[in-house]
Amino acid sequence: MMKRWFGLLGLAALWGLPAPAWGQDEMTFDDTGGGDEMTFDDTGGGEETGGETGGETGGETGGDLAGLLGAAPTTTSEEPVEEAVIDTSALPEPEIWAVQQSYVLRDGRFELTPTYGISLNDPFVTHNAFGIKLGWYITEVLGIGASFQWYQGLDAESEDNFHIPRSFRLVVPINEYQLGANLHFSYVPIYGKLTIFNEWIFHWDCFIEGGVGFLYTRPIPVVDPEVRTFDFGIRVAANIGIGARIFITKFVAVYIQYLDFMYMERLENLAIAPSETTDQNDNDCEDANGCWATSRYNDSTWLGESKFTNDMMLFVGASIFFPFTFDYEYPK
Amino acid sequence: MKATKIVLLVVLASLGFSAAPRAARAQEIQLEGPLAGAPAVRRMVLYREGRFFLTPSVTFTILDTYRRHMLFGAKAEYNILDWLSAGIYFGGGFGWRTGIADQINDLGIDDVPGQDYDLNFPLRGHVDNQLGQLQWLGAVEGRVIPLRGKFSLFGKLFLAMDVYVNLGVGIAGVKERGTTDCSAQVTGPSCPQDDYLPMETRVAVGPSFGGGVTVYFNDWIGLNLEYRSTPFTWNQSGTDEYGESEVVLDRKIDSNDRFLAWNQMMTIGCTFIFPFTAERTN
Repeated sequence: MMKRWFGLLGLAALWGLPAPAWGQDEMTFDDTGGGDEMTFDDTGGGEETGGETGGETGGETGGDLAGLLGAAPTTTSEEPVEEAVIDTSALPEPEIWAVQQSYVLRDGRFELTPTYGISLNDPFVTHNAFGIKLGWYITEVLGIGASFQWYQGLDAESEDNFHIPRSFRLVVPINEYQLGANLHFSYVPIYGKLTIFNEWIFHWDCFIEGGVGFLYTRPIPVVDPEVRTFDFGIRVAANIGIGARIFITKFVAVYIQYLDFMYMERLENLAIAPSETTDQNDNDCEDANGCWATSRYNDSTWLGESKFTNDMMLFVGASIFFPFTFDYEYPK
Repeated sequence: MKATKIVLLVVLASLGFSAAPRAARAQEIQLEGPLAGAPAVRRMVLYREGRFFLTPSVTFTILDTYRRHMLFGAKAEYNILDWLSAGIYFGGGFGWRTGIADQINDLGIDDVPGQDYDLNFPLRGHVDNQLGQLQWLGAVEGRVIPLRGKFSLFGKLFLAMDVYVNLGVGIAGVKERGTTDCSAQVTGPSCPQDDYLPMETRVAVGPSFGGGVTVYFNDWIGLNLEYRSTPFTWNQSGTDEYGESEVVLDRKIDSNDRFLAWNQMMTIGCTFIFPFTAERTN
């Protein structure tokens, strides 16, 4: 009877045995069990390699370097193995380097960049702009592109425009932008990566850019605003700048750029023509009203000098590269 | 007795069942090979941690309306951690007129018929007697260096770099137009007819913030580029701006005429790092 009880207790205890871990890795990397088909043992024992080459090269085994240096002494598994000292000084410089793949490739991809820009160097009027830029990379580092900016309605006059005329009787001619369009060449000389507190890594690049385009501008009447109005006109502008992209993914990047537009700006004439006639056919400059040629209403007297102008803009935006994916030429 | 045995058997079986371990259904992923347990960066050069930076620098103010300034100085900082440092900056220098100030200087009240003197409008060639000047600037600041990494230049030159932001307190020595009271409209010592009272100096205090980049050429020398803003109020134009309205001013040059200015500047410097050898991580 007691035996039966012990038997029952034993059965109950069996429930307590640990069950097999079903998720356990069943693959083993234990190489002590033969490795008949493939072996990386270069100590001379490989039957397939040693056996095949042995007849032709006197039992030469080992790696590629040994092959380059000619026949090595035949060894057998019973003999002690001597490590071969290989002089690599006579070998040519390696032509293949171990280089990590670039996170993002630009070659052959398009880049679409919506931007917002703000002028930096005009203390009287701040020119703000929404823009769009489309680029295409001819190579990894060379690209071409076109951009468009819309300024009108976004300009902001500063308080200096009020204080300086009030204090110094000095009227500073200012201008308004409507739009701009430009063609660019881009070159990417700098590529790098950064860690944030040694936790997250992101890649970035830096590019320089130059090109030509135009700005569509007009003077804001400040000298004789009661009479003068101006139409927009095209000003051919060269541009040069530097920028950077911080890649969030392989096709999205934060974009920042400094760009200097250099052009000849038409400014409002600081002098007001003396006569008051509104008759365009009045050619008698001797009478009291004066003549049309010297009239403040004659728009040919409104524009003054052209002045070389630097419009330094800071753009921020987001770059979207497409196609979104790309293939590396070499495997990782 | 039989019933007791059955109950005892059921209890024993239940205990055994409850003691059985759960089967491991989630596979444990174990990274094997040489990268198992390895840090994100091996042998990382600790350019900052525990080291002292000394950066002789030149600073240019930017976006100035009346006067640009160039300050020669130095920045000293001790790096408590690789991402945290504290330091001081001091620079002193000189300034020169902007294009607008040149125009004001060339015009002068002399050109206004029947008016010899105006509190705001200087005589021709005298604008320097009223424009504010930044004589020196100092700052005590903490610095956080969240970004560090490396970059290649033309695919040939590989350099390490970090990016930081700083925040602290700035103090500035400014020279402004002396307090001038012409409210009585009477010419006298406090309201000179054709001359200026001496400029007055004072110390202005404000926050100081910015950010920059340091590029390391080796363990102990680098290039530093920094943006800084130290906003405080001062009278840069030396003009009367305060009064009952925009057109009725109080005809006094005093502290009421000061405006808040951002006082933005760019600094470029050469950083020397002590001790000369940086430690490496494992």
